Amino acid sequence: MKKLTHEQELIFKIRAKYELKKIKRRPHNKNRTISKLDEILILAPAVMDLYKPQYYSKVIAFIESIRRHIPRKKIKLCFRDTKHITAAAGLLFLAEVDRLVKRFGSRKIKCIRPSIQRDRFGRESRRVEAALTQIGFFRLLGMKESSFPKEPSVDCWMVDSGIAADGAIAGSLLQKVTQNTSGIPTKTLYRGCIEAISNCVEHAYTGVRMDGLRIDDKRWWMFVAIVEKKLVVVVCDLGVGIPNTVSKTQEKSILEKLFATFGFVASTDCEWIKTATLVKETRTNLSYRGKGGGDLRSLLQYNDSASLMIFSNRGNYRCRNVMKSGKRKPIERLYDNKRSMLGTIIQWSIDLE
Amino acid sequence: MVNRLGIIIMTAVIKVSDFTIFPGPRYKKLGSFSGEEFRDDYLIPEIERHGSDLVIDLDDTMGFGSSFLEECFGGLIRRKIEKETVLSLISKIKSLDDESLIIEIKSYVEDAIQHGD
Repeated sequence: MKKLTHEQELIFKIRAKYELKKIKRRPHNKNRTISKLDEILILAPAVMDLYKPQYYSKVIAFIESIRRHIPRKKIKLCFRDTKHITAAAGLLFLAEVDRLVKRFGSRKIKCIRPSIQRDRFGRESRRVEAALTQIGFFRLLGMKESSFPKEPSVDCWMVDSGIAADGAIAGSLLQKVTQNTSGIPTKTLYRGCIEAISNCVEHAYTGVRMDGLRIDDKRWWMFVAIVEKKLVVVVCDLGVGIPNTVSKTQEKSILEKLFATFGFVASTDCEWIKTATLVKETRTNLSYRGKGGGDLRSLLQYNDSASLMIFSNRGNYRCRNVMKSGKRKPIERLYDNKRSMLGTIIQWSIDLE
Repeated sequence: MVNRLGIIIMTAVIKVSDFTIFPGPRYKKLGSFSGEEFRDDYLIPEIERHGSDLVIDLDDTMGFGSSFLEECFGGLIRRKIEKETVLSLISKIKSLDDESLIIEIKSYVEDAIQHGD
């Protein structure tokens, strides 16, 4: 090998230093994945929450990453950084993993448990791990459930699922969580739940889910819990979404009357969700079908502190009651996210006195 | 029920809670304890036996979806039960847990009658 001149040596040294600096400055892996030959590590977000758009995108990206890699590799989910998990995000995550485990088997997915959280006083909490345990995530993967003291804040979280519109599953869940609490409008909640579940069974899986996996799983999942002095009830499906079914299940005349009555024409996912909840109010004399949408809003009509939130594909629709001059007035908010959750989540919550 | 001669007439009562305490979806194909099942397998046979001398008791259940109620009662009109019989039955419905259900059922029956016409 030819010996380098002094100048060439200097050039190589400078170039090597520059290349090293470039490697150190390389941006963080945006996909939060670290890949080995047959296994991929996917980092769960610090906050698993769908209610705020900035957290919603991260949760959906996390789930998309799992779906993208699982057909070809083993997945290791890392919850080390996860500090908070909310009801809707927890149920969606469980439903997605449940569906993937059914198709690919539980051996395809491993998990690194959440870290112990500490508050500003140094008090320890295993709330995230307790929440994942309570909703059956570790059991789903065939992992041992830790036997540390239960977290009271997640002790009353209950989850179940079904294929048919089984009122007994929904009703039993509601009864279990509310049995020691008075003043809860369980009939109105049951009404909303059985309609949401019936709609899921009848309409949600009429087409192919756009995740490319072609999994045949037509289940719905339901979650009931008392969270921070609120009763929260969530129903989730992983189907084609309300925006893809409303225009097919409702007659054109009903939709036209609805749009004329309420002064808008649905074009975005969130507007189609709003349309679905308003159909009952415009159905008079036009059709005997399609009255269930109003059942989703019925809790708002009977309870001052009630709120309704619906996620479907990109859309998010929220409606809650506020008291103005002694009268109950519903306030709405609707927007589209950038990513689609590919399914539907309906959540009701009411304050417990 | 007591008639004008003072004779006690036993009115037939059909309780939904004897069928299920968790009323289900609209159609049998969607799940168990549907409005269609209650109407076809329980309600219509009782109507054929007792006519409009029948009290339908909606109490002691977990609740009703609107689809169940519409298919059960609006569906009586679509099943060609006479509208006078159906309207008479609706006027006798017992629903102490939630009286608004009677108004709701009446609206479904009236819509079904109008739709049929």
